Amino acid sequence: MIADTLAIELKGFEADSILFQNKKEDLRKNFLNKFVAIKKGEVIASGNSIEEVNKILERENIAPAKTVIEFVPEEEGIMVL
Amino acid sequence: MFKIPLFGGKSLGFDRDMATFSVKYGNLPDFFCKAIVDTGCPFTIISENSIKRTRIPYSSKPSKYNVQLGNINMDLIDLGICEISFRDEKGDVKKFQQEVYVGIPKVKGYLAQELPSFIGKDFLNNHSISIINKKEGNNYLLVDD
Repeated sequence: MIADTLAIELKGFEADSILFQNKKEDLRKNFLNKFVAIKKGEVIASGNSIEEVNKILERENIAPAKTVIEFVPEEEGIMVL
Repeated sequence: MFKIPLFGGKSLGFDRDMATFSVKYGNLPDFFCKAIVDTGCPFTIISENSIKRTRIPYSSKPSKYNVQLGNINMDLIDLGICEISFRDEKGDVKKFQQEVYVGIPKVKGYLAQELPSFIGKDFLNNHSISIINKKEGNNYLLVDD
């Protein structure tokens, strides 16, 4: 049962990660150079630092550790790894 | 054998093979991560931005390696062996023991904020895992158990 829950939560985390990638251009309009938290397909918090976003989430009893929190950058250079 | 699905995600300006997984460090609750699967990276690295979402006291630990990612200088802090869990193609959870590092960029700026996590060659080697590239559909990790 715990494994099932973990698998479902991971699937949701992956979906939110993909959503962030796909919506990055839109997010720049309102959240440029900010951190955004995304859960179940929605931006649920934003702030100037991860710590600020963490505090907002914790006030809502949402675990930052299981939430997509990403920086919305102005530009993206290609880095060869 | 089982398969761990990857997804295409843009990171550092280009589409990469990525995976999501959970990490268990000591007695602290699991945290979730998204990482690039990178055969050119010798270490499995969690980005500082990912670790900041947790209560892991990483900053009190010494740096084990200093590495370069592109032109970004980064310290690697050894978290030790962690349990990392993936969702396989059937939706079952598969657990692995793996040494994990935290990557701390030594520079500031937007690129430092964007530094991703990496599933490195160490993880692929330790667990006999291959990356399977598909012409159509998503790539996946093939685990030889």
